[in-house]
Amino acid sequence: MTTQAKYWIGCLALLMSLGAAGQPLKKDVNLTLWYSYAMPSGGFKSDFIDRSSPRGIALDLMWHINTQLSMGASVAYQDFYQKYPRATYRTSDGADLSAVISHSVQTTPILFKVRYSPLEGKGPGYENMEKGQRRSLIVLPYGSLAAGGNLVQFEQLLGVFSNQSDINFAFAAHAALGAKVPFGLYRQHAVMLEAGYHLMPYNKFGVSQLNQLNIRTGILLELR
Amino acid sequence: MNRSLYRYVAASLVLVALAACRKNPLNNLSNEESRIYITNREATANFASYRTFSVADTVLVVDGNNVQSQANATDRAFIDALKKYMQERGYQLVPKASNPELGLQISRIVRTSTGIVDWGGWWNNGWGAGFWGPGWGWGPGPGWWGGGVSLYQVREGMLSMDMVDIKNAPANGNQLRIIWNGLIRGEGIFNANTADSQTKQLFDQSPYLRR
Repeated sequence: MTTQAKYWIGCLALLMSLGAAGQPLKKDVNLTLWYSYAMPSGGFKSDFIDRSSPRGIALDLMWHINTQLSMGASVAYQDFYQKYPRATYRTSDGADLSAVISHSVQTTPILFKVRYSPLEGKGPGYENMEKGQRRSLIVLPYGSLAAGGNLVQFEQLLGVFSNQSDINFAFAAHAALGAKVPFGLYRQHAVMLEAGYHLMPYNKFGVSQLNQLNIRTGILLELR
Repeated sequence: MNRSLYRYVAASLVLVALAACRKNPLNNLSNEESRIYITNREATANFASYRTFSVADTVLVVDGNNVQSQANATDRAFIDALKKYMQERGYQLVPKASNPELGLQISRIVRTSTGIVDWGGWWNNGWGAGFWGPGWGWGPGPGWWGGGVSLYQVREGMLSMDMVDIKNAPANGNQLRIIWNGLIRGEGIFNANTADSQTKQLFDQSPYLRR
């Protein structure tokens, strides 16, 4: 296990221990469907693709550990693509090659996730009401941490010809800050908005990372 | 789950599915963008030392081991473009009978299904059946850059332009050396309307090709 992975798992454990203190255990399950807009950063941006991607989704399935803390699984998908103007390159055998180069990357992180919402359950009279009658605050901030694996599809094309392609699995982590706006008869569902950062080490074809900033909006649905 | 929840889930799934479509790079390329142009030269060749050239008036169609000559409208467009850009670089076009110092031959390579172009395999056949071979008494043998060049999967075919050194053939044991090659691969190559621009690209990336 890499140092990065150990660090993120430690953070997750710390967040879980903070949120678990002194709160009653609940069994609610919620599903969040996200639309994601992502911006490459670091080496990903400078070495491979600098164009942002509007093609992303994510899905979280979370269980409440207590009122403030939930944990579960998160699966995301983001598609990056960029086409560069025709240019001439010198090949290793001394030939000159002119091509329109296209870069295509798809990242699919599959993560264990912990979400902490410190003001959850702080609505007026919340604690004295039954679940179906509770009224939470209008906006609830939260933070989340996640770590796991990342399925990466990577391809470079020269014109219509694939030059380099690869599918592999690597470490990934995600940190985010956001807010949820509850709605529904009992405010059991919520509209979600968050900004996060995906840490995605990758070390192939001269690309060292696929890190990306994400802005997400989604809908959280309480399933039970 | 109640009915309204189902509706939320269904609507959300449709929206996120629409957002998640992969942008297929191949669908975002025009024919021009799909093509790659590869030029290669013999490192020791002094292109300024040649004065005259001639271009074969037919195009070789290389299909495996079968080689035929043809000269349809598209072929003639490529031949004309090759003459044009050679002249722009200062070389003088002369008939074959006038002992040109450079010979140029265009070849179509079709039905190639592997990702490897075996240069030796096709150009020997091509030149043997072509314009320059019989008259110069050269025998089959590997080209000057030797073994095969690994390329990519062929989708449509290729067009190749070869330049041979006729001037120095006697000094090379009557062997015709290919001193420059231009290769075009991709979509929509065999098009008379784009023959000029495709040929121009080969010359644009070969600035050393000058009298």
